[in-house]
Amino acid sequence: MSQPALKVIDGGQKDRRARLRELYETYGGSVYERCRYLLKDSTQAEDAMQEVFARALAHADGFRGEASPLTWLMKITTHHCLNQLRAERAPWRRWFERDAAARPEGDRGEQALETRELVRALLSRVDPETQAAVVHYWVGEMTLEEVAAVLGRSVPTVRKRLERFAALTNEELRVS
Amino acid sequence: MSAHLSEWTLRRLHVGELPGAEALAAQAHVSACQECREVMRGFSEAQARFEAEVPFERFAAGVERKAAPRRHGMWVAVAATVLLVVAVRPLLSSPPSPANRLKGNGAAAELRIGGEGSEQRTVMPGTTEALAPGERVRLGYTPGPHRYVLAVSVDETGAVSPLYPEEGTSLPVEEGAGTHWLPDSLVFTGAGLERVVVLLSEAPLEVEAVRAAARRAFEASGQEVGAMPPLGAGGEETHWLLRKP
Repeated sequence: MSQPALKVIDGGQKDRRARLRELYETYGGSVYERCRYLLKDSTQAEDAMQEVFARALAHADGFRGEASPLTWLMKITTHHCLNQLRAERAPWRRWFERDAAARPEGDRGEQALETRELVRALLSRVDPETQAAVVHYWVGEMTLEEVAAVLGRSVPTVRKRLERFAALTNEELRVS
Repeated sequence: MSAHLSEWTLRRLHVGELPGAEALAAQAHVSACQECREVMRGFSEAQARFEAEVPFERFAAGVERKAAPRRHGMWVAVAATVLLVVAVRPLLSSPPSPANRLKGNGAAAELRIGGEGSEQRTVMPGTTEALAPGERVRLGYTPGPHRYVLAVSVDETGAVSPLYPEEGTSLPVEEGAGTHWLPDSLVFTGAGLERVVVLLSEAPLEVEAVRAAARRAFEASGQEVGAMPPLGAGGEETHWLLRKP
């Protein structure tokens, strides 16, 4: 039996502060990591993270019906950060110049770190939706089906976009 | 990697939202797999680093600050009075575009954009218009045979913001001929697309019912706010798409 997906958000009897603390303790690290990975700047990452959780608070119904609040949050986080990068005047140039010491997401060892660096280096060369798919797939390690569900696209469409991205990497990345 | 659980699965396990059977299987794998245990430990460490770097009090204060304007999907611009005097007065004397008319019954809805130093412009329904930084939006209507008006917006994440009114049921239309402007101007926060919908109706509509209809339309579009079908919540609808700066 699945756990109640809405426990964090839909706590009508809990006060707002308690809900915030639960969000902070359960999802804060994941959301902040994704913001750090994409924005590379701790101040901007914190700002973006606050925006994401503000949306979670303000639109609690966005969580209702979601089997996975984490998926909802990571979708909003990725979308928001990629939008923010696009909104800057010289986003990608600045992006590459930023804090080289930004912690990569996850901890799967050297190979995963290399994958994430490769993704980071090539992300600017694809369209926004492919960027989101790439981050969810190679950084968040979602399955093709999960990425398709998050983006509201079919699996073949997502696969095609990811394969197009993988082609940029001289086959260092593969879509399985 | 096939021998291990994906990082995404482990992350869901870590936050406690994997369904029961899946969670049990994942737990069993993790207890026997050192590499996956390391990944799980990495999540705990990342959470600890986060909590050390961003204390809860600062987190909560920042989130509350950002949640305040978004709670209603917009803020009423501080400079609304200026806009009313300087910018909106010409709106009252300019007739709505014929293209905005609904079903030829005299009803119409209008969306006008204005900002300091920029010329006002009317956005044709069904089109996408880019907003420049600081630009505000004003909504107007000619009621025709309708007695009630309601407006909502939907952002790219599917979040529905009731604009007029923020809760309850549709507002009664103003008496008299010509275009009536809804109070204050709107500044949409965030980035990306925002769909604005005005509904003119003969009977009052429940804000919550319209919100639910908007969510359904968003889902029906494959979560593409730019491709949403009519809400079907009752009344005559006018849609515009705005691209926020």
